Amino acid sequence: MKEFENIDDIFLKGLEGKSIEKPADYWKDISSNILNKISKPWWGALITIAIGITAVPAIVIIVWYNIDVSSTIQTEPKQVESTMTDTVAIKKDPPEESIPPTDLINSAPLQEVPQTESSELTEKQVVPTVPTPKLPKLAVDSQALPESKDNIIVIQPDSARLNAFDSISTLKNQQLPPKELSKKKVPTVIIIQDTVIVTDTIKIEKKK
Amino acid sequence: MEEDELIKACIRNDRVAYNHLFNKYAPKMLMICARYMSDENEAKDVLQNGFIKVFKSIKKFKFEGSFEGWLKRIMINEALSELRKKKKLITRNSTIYENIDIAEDSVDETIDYDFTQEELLQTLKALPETFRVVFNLYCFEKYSHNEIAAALSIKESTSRSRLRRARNILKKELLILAEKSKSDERV
Repeated sequence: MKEFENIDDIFLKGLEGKSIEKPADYWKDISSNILNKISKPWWGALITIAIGITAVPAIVIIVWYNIDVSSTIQTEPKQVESTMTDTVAIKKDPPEESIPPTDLINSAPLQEVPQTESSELTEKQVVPTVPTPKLPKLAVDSQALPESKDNIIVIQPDSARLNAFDSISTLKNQQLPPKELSKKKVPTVIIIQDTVIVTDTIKIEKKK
Repeated sequence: MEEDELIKACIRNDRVAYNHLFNKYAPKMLMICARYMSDENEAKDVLQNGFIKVFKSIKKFKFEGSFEGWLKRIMINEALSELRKKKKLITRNSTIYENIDIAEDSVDETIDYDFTQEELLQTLKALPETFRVVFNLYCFEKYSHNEIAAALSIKESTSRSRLRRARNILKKELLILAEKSKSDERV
């Protein structure tokens, strides 16, 4: 390879680190091309400014509108809640034998609450109903249950259900004579968990 | 303005600094581009595209090594990329040269003549591109054959062979040129 070292040296000596001399216009031309390509064109800057001018007020309006809407939304639940508490409140797991007064139940326009929703209700949640005239809450003390509540059947899930049936049937058996019970045709309210059904077609047969 | 200040000004998108930096290095970088490209316009394009890349990525310069070295690497990569793009690394000429066994034909004679820059550049440009690239990378950039093979996706043995042939061609061309110049001087 020694014979070629001379060749490498000749080229290194003659070209390495050397410059190519060109007229000033030549460099100016390349330089302006480069600067044009790396910097935004004037119309690009104009577009940026135009977008800025339109975007800033738009953002302000959107933000203002959102604040306005969110404040409206925040007030709505309070109104709903106040309406709900004034109407019918049904708890997810009502205590055993929590039987509301019949006269109030009959007069209140009750609506059927879907089963699927009921499972999601928490203790503090309230079943939405049609706004009605003010009604007292339905929290009833089972001890103070009046005799005339024989047309209300509370069906609760699981083991509680049987107890409820038992207690009602016991009530019926104890408080009304069998003949009267079968003859009397009053609207019957059935509460299955959170669902309230008003019917006058249910017959309650006496246990033999 | 010092070079670091100039680079920092370029990072701040200072157009004057761009101009200063370009004017400082462009003539040297054009020489590098011209060594790799056979055509002057191609060299100019590589220089231009190389500087665009340099200015666009100047924020990535860490101020650890020499700026000129960084610039040079970008230019070489740009030249190689341009050659690859144009598929000039495989040309008819180079295939012909590669098939000739030049080893037997090597010239065992030292050249003692001062060639001009232009003469050397023209001699280099006369080489097939595949040979010229290998010669440039080995002789000027000090790449090993292993590195050349990796850069050009060729075998190491191919790199060695191309370098030998390139040197042989260059030597012959320079001898002819030297003889001609000497005879011209006599006349």
